Amino acid sequence: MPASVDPEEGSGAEDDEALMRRVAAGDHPAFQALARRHFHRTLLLAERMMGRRVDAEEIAQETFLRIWQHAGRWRPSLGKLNTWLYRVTVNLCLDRLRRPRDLHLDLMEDAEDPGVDTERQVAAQEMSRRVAAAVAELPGRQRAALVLCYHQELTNAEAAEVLAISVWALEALLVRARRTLRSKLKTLGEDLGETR
Amino acid sequence: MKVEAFRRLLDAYGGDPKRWPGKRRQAALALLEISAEAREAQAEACTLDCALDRLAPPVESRRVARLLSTVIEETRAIASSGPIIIPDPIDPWWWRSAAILGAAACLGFLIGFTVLNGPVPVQTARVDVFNLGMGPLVRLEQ
Repeated sequence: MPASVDPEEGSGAEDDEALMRRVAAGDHPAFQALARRHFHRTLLLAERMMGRRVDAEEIAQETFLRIWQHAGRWRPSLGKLNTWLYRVTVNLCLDRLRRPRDLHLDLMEDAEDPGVDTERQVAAQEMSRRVAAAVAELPGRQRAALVLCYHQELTNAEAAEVLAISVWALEALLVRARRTLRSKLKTLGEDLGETR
Repeated sequence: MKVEAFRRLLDAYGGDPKRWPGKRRQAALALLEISAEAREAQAEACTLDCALDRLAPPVESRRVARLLSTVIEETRAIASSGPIIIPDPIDPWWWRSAAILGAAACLGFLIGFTVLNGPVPVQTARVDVFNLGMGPLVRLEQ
């Protein structure tokens, strides 16, 4: 199920708008308030896109540096701040995914459940690694569509806006992504039955 | 909704009705009530959903706090070293400045061009025009 929501979040679009106006004028406390509100979900998005903590941390920080430097470019007419923020993050992720890199994924390293016995834990970790590897092999935009709709809980219209595509194009990306994953993980049902 | 359309919906949004777009959700839920095939397809989709849930480990609040403080410190350092003005193409102020600079450049070019290629003395000009038009004729007369 989707990850927990940052308790400091929950602001309305008007609050974001007012804060962004102050940030554009160089108001650093306003920037701090904005960063506290949105950093958590930005980091989650980057982690799920990249699969590597180091990359995700750099991208989340770079996103907020850009907000500080380019706040004047944002207009309420361009959409919700969240959408703009996610667009910057996704673009940074896609840019980095184009670079050659090794396929080591460390997203799952700390996702252990201390409540289950070692054998089941090892099997669960193996399953997590397979899922992470399968997702990492998806083309960047398919991965972005999946993460935005599935994990970030955006509506299809919001996710399409982030990716600057139509809702139909987004749906096509989602279908391709899920079909690819399903074929790569076709024995998953049985394995999940064992490890659940 | 037919089962094929329902399968397409599952292929895009997974088995959780919460993620289904509002317009199709009602029709899909109605189909689920009457179709065993649809229920089976939904169960299959939920298997993949379970797998994807594993990609969403919580981010520790301590780590978020550490990264956040780094960002805040970095931006504060930038702020204290003076504002960075990046031209905003939508901002009218930027356009006005660019237009003034452009107009000044054009004016400078025009003045420079006029001075360098200033008015030719009238006598010389007449001779030149005569030579251009009647050059060969004059030479014949000589």
